[in-house]
Amino acid sequence: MIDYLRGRRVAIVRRGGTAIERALGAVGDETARAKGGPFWPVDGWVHVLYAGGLTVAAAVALTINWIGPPAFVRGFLALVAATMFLLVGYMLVATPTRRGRALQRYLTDPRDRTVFESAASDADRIRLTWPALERLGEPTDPTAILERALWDLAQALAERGRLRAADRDLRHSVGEPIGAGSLFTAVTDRQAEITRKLTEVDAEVRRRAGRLHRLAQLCQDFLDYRAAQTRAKVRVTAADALLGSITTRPERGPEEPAATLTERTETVLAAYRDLADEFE
Amino acid sequence: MSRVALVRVLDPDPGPATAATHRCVWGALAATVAWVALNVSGVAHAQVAAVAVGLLTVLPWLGPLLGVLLAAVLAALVQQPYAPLFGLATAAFMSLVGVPAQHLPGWLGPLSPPALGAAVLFGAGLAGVPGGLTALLTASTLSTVLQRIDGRR
Repeated sequence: MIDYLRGRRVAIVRRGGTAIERALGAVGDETARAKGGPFWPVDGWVHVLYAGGLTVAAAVALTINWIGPPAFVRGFLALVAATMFLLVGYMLVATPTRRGRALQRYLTDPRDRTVFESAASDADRIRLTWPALERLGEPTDPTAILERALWDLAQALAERGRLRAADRDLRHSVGEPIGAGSLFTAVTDRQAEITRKLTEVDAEVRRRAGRLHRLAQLCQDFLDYRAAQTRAKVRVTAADALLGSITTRPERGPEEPAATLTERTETVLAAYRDLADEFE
Repeated sequence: MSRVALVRVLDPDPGPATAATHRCVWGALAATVAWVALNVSGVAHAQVAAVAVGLLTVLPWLGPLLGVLLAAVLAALVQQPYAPLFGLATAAFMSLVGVPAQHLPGWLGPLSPPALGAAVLFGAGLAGVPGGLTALLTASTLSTVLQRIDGRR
């Protein structure tokens, strides 16, 4: 399952991993990046991790209090135990935190977020319409492939965001008074390299997003085609039913009651007009 | 037909570490109040009991309720005539602690589990349950200060 967290400045795409890795990755991200979010909402595992650490710390602190040494020794013991706890704790959580962070991609550019949201919407449409393809759709459940596609797209988008930021920074350096020597050459060289890489990644993003969009369009077209077929079949059935009812109804007689009434009224009115003309 | 939720859009706040740290502050507050109440009630091993109450408070869902119940039962089981009253008073104080703990100030920043544990261990090892609470509040505040300094760079 891919989770997509949309925030004020950056978006995070998160994929897979164990609950502990995800929780520690999110915690490590918040405590180390020193930025104002966005962050993942709290889930139970985060509390469990904190409660576990706190339990061990409380047990050690209670032991120190139970021993009841003099104040100086107590302070020394507390300091040593806290340092040990800190070191061992960071060693224990370092690997899962690193793994948890590797399971995340950051989309800092609003344009990247728009592209990802559009691709995610396409993926939703594909998943929604896929069952209608029945045996034409292979595999039966495309979720894993779609998730992989979204993840790869997120990776490309994150890379594009970083490249754009680097390009922007280099442009600033070009405009600054750095002289026309080797440093300027180095800056323009890197800028050219970044621009070339950016073009490549841009094309990759367009290709990946375009394929997802094309597949969603194909699925939607097929669904529309099936729906149109169904509607046409229903209309043909209705037309058949109408024609059948016309064929099977009793024949109407040759006399038409309205015709007699019309003729009689016409005669009477003509006679009235004649009489009226005579007396005027 | 319902929309298939392949991608979920989630609210950005609050951060998991901040929320968990605030929960631990609530636990430490509960432990401190329980420690005072249990000491006044004359419960044996009040410090151990207060730590258990604090740890229960950290747990999600029914944790805080279990903490209040544990503290109240321990205070009510003391062999003295006013024990039930002590139990009720303990439960009331513990419940009252829960009210401000729902809206802790923003300057109590996030701490990682090792940092939080180390702070509590140092404070509690040095000065018991109140020391743990003080160390936790200090470390949490320092974390916010350091983050702001880092953010300004």
